[in-house]
Amino acid sequence: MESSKIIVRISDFAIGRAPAVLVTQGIGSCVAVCLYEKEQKLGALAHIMLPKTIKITTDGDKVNPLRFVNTALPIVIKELEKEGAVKEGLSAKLVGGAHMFRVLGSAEDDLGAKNIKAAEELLAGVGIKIDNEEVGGNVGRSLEFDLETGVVNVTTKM
Amino acid sequence: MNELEGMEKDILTEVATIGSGNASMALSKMLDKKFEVKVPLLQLIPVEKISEMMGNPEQLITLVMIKIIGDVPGTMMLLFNPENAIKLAEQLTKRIKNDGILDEADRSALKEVGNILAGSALNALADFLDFTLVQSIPDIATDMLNAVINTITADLGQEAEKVLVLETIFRDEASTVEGKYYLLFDPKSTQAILDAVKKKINQ
Repeated sequence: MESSKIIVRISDFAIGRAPAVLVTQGIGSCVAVCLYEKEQKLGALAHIMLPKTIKITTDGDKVNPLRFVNTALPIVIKELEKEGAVKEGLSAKLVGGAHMFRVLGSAEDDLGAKNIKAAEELLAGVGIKIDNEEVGGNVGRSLEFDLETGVVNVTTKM
Repeated sequence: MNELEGMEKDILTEVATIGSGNASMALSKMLDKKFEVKVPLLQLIPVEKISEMMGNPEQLITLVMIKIIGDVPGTMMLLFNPENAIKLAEQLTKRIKNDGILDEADRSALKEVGNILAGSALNALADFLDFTLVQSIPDIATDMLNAVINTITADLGQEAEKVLVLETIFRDEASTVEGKYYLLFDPKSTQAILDAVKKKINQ
C-alpha cells in the first residue's frame, strides 16, 4: 500500500502501526534502528548519524539529540512505550554502518563501525534483543520496514 | 554562529570564488579546454540539511572528497552524476568507455582531478588568507547521494551543528561535462576565515 509509507529522514525517527511501512533512504555510515513489537504490530525506525554526543564547540547552537545514538534511542524507546510498547516485547534490527571512505578512518574504527557498536551496546543495556543486522561493508543502503510483518527489506544500488 | 551578515557573505563568496576560480583554471589546463564556473552559492545550514540541498536521496552520484587539514579544517568535494564522471574520465584517460562503469584507472584519474583542484584552490586560499592548509589523499565513491553525502557530513557533525557550504557549478564550454565543487567548513573554520579577511582589510 503505497500511501501508508512514512519516510524517515536523517537525525529523525517515526513510530507507526500496521499497515504502515517505515522507509529510510541512502544509509551510509549512519545506523538505522528498527524496533518492533510483534503482538501489537507496532514499530519505530530511527536514522541516526553519530554514535554519541561530543561537545559542540559552536557558541549558542542547539544540537539535535536525534543525531546521536546515545540520546536518540532513549527518546525513541520512551515514545514507543507511550504508545503502549513493553520493552521486553521489543526486538531490533540494525542496518547501515558502512565504510564509505578510507580517508575517514579504517573499517574497524570509522563512524560506521562506531555507530553499530553504540547501537548494539545501548540496546543490550536496556535489554532489547537484536535479531538481525545488515551492517558494514562499503555500500549505501535503503530500507522498508513493514509493520504488518516486521520484515525489513534492504536494497542497494551498487 | 547562527547567521551570516551581509559583509560576511560577501567575504566568503569572494573566498569561494578565489578557490573555485583557481580550481577551474587548473582543470582547464589539465584538459586543454575552457571551464566556466558560476557564482558560488553559500549557505550556513545544519549538517542534516546538506544532502537535501544536493538532490534526491537515492540518486546515484560519483563523489571525490579530500579533507582539508591545517589552520581551517574542512572538506572539499567534487560531485558528478555518474554519466558525467565517466565522460570526464574518458577525456582524462583518452579512452572510450562502453560499459558505463568506472574502473580503477578511471577512479585514479578522477581522484587526481580532485588532487589538482584542491591543490590549486587551497594554495590560492592559503596565499590570500595567510593560512597553512594541507590536503589529505583523495577518496572516491559512487553510490546513493544520501549515503555518500551523509557519511561526510556526519564526520563534520561530530563537532558542529551547522556547516558552511560553498557550492560552485562548473562546466566546459560545450557543456559536455558538468560537476559541482564544494568547500565545507565548520563554524570555527568559517570564523577563522572571516577574521583573517577582516584583518587583511584593516591592514
